[in-house]
Amino acid sequence: MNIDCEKIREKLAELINDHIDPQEDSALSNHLKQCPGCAKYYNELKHDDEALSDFANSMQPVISRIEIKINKQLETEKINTIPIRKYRILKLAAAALIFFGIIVTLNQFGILFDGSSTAWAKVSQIILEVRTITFNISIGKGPVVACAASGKKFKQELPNGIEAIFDYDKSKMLVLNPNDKTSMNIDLSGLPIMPSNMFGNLKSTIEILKQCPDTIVKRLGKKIINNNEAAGIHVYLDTSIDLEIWYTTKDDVPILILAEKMIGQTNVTFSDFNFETITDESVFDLRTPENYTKIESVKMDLKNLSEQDLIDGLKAWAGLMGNKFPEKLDLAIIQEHSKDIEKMLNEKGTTDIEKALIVIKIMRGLIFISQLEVKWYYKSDNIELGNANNAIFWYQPERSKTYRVLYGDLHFADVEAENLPKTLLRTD
Amino acid sequence: MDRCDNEKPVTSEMNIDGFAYSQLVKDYSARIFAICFGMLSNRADAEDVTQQVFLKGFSDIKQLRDKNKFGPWITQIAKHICLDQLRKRKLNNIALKQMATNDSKEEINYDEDHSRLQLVLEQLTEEYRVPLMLFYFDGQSTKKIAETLEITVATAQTRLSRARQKLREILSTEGGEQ
Repeated sequence: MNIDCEKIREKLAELINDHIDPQEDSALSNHLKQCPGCAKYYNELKHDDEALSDFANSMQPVISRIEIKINKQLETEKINTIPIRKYRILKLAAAALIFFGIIVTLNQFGILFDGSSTAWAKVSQIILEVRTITFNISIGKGPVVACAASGKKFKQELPNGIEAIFDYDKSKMLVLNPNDKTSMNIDLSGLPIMPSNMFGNLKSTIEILKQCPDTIVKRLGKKIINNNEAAGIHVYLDTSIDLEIWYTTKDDVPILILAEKMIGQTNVTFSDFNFETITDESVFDLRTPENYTKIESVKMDLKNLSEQDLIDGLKAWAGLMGNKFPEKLDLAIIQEHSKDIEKMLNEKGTTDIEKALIVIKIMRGLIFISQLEVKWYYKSDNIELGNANNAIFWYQPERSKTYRVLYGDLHFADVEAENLPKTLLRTD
Repeated sequence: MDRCDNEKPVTSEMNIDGFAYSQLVKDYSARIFAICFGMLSNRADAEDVTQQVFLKGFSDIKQLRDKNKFGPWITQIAKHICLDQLRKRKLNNIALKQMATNDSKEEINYDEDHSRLQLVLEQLTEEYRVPLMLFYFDGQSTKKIAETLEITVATAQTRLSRARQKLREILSTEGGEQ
């Protein structure tokens, strides 16, 4: 091999780096035609290039496996106490729940709210692209609630006729009671930038499922729903998202969606969809109708939440529930205990506005928790309000070496890691 | 081929959002794995260290001042952890070749050609192996390799070309073709 060949071979390697064909260079091309040694060398380099590409491709499953392992490790090592994906879902659910939680303030009316495949591609697309929709929803064992959504406007009608209209952009809500023709305005501030209603929440969930390569889609067979032949798919992502979607076999339009543990541990059912049927936006009008009487307005600020909000919320809860604390600090707890809350509020004979304020207090405490971005832990087993010896909650504020520990008498203390109450040490 | 030329911006919410972080893991896992594989010359170790890198990144992400520099930042973490790992290997006096042999035995999914190629890659020095890994595993151009490794484009080009030539030399010396 002469010096020329040596240089040519260096150049050939460079061409492969830049994905350039030697034919584009006449000098090189001529040399290759005349020098069998360099021509052979070039072919070998090309062969190596293909072998390396092939080798790298064979590693793609390894890389995907690493990604899965990392995500799992992030969960198991409890870098966030809430598993990573769940944390996202919870955040998505939070805004929607804030809305539902606000419905609890309807105490004013003496009422509490109770409460692999092409198919997947088509069905999810229909949901993601919808602009206006009406549907029914039931949360857990709660009643079926009729809903309408258009962008960031949302309306729901409880079985007893109470209507709530929510405009996320305006941060305002109007509650109408057609039974006694009264209305209430709720002003909200500090709403998180998240889906503004449960359908928005469903959309975001579906978007996540579509984006994640680990999403699993399985067929569920067929059944008749509302006189339509429906096919089902089970779409899930590890343990954080789990949807059962039933759609018409005729045109792939979704008719029933069961979202497991969409709110905390609570399942949500969406049904009776009507797509693009809202033609008149006046259904979302926030103005009080003429024949309605306006009663007191309620303001709810969701900004600047602090430990004190948690203390106040737990105090309010324990005050209603015989000095017992909630079994978990999850926004869905309000839904799950809505009947008990209603009963206790009524037994205490509080005024409507007092009822609303109590529920808002509980919600603010729970929202403070849902927005914590650091490790926290809660366990309230058999600890009653006033118990100064036993801790129920800790969290580690950002950049803090010590932990903030909350005791049953609702006082916070700074505690070193090694002195964390044994009852509150995680074992999982 | 060059799918990572634009650094993916890290929005402020990514500091805190596990889901967004898992997206970053997805975007940068091939790059980090390439660097780890290139530096450690062992697939199993590269897998473990890639995980460590992203976990470290997650816990330290608030220290990342310029949110648009996630790529270089996580690359630096990877380099540090790999160097640390190499130091530990030296301390433990583990014969690299022994480990590589064990590893290739464990890897049941590779066909014979891949196992052989992996063994040949292990014979390259780190300065040649890393650019090659970035080129093939992360689809990086010479320009991007230069950015990732903080070297000039000319150096990246030379290293990559020499890597190819060295690889060819080893394969030819070993006799037989792939």
